[in-house]
Amino acid sequence: MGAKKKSVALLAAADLGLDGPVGAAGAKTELLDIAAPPVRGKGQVVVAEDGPAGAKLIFDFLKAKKLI
Amino acid sequence: MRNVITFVEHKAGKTRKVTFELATEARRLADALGGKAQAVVLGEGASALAEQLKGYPLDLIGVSDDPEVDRFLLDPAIDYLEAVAKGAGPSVVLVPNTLQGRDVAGRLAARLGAGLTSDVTDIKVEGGRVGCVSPKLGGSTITTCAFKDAEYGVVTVRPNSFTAQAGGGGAEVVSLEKPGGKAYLMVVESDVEESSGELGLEEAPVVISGGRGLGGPEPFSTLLGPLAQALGGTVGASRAAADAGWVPYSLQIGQTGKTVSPPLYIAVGISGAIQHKVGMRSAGTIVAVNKDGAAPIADFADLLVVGDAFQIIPELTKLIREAQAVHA
Ligand SMILES: Cc1cc2nc3c(=O)[nH]c(=O)nc-3n(C[C@H](O)[C@H](O)[C@H](O)COP(=O)(O)OP(=O)(O)OC[C@H]3O[C@@H](n4cnc5c(N)ncnc54)[C@H](O)[C@@H]3O)c2cc1C
Repeated sequence: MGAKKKSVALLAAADLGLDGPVGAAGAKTELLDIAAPPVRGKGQVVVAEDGPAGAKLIFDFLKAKKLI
Repeated sequence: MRNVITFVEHKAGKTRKVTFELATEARRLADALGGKAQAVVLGEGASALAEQLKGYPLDLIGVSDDPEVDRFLLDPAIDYLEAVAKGAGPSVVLVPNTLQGRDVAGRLAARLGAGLTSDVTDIKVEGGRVGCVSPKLGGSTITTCAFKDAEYGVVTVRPNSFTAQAGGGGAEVVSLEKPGGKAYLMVVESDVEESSGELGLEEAPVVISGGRGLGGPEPFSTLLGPLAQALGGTVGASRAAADAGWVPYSLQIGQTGKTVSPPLYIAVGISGAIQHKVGMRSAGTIVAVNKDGAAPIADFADLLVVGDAFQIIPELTKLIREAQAVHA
């Protein structure tokens, strides 16, 4: 692994001519909160007898949700 | 930050729904911050679009039909926006989280020394502070970030996150002065449009996606197409379908494709792998049609109908068409 033998130069912010705050202190935004997304619960699983019955299940479901 | 400025993305005066979502949200935010809501419309067709925007609750609409905005790549638009923002004073700038919007947002933030939050799905104002909610890591984590020590904040907003609501009106339309002393180098030589169906994927109110279960390219147009049309939506796909060459990659939804959050997502013949899920889990309602009741999608679909898509989908399209005919 050639990469292992390479020397890594360590520079301070000042070496780069940066005089303002850097890193989190220099960021223009700050993290207020970090959370898991709302869980999508398991919904209904319904077995359709045939095509028209399956279609009717979806149609009624969408209608009840006012999506059609 | 008091004022809210929204950048209107359009082509020759034709815009997308997200424009009106942002105009509506700009009003709500401006009221919460005690400032003004203003839109900026630039380039060919801007004046006509400004008229349309008058139907939304804005205070000001800054307009310029300057042809240089379309002739040169982005820079003129950034100059206009920078001038508007500096004129308005400390403000939040809303930009759609689109290809162009993201480009605009980064450059504008650099110009203004602004904070930048991206792919934002909700904005909260508390004690005068603006907190931006965005899904990260494919939606597996939700962060809220606030602007600090900055006069300006730039926010790219995910389409379909806010509801557009016309009303209010009475916005004053003002002609924007051309920022002086600028020379532009990058000329737009040609501009290729995605085909219309693809253009709307991220914004469509309904996405009907097909997967490997469809078995080939034809059902995307013969089975899903008519349903999408009946519901006023558009067709998407899983990676398996795109990898098989059944549809272009621009239709792919998921980790390595597009992220969509339509009010209604219908997955047809898609198993619901995690890499697909991350692209659509923020949809309002998820309906799936799958032969296999134990497919992973059963765990997060609001309704899974177990059956053959080829039997069910045409009947569903018929039912919807019939219902529409009754109401027409
Ligand atoms: C790094 C990486 C990135 C990835 N990125 C993405 C991505 O962005 N988007 C994405 O989608 N995937 C992505 N994948 C692939 C993902 O893991 C799955 O392989 C893929 O989503 C499966 O697609 P599918 O659901 O169409 O196919 P399958 O998993 O094969 O599912 C097909 C489903 O169709 C059902 N079916 C079959 N016939 C019928 C019928 N007649 N009627 C009804 N149902 C039927 C079957 O029961 C099955 O559940 C990625 C994978 C990796 C490793």
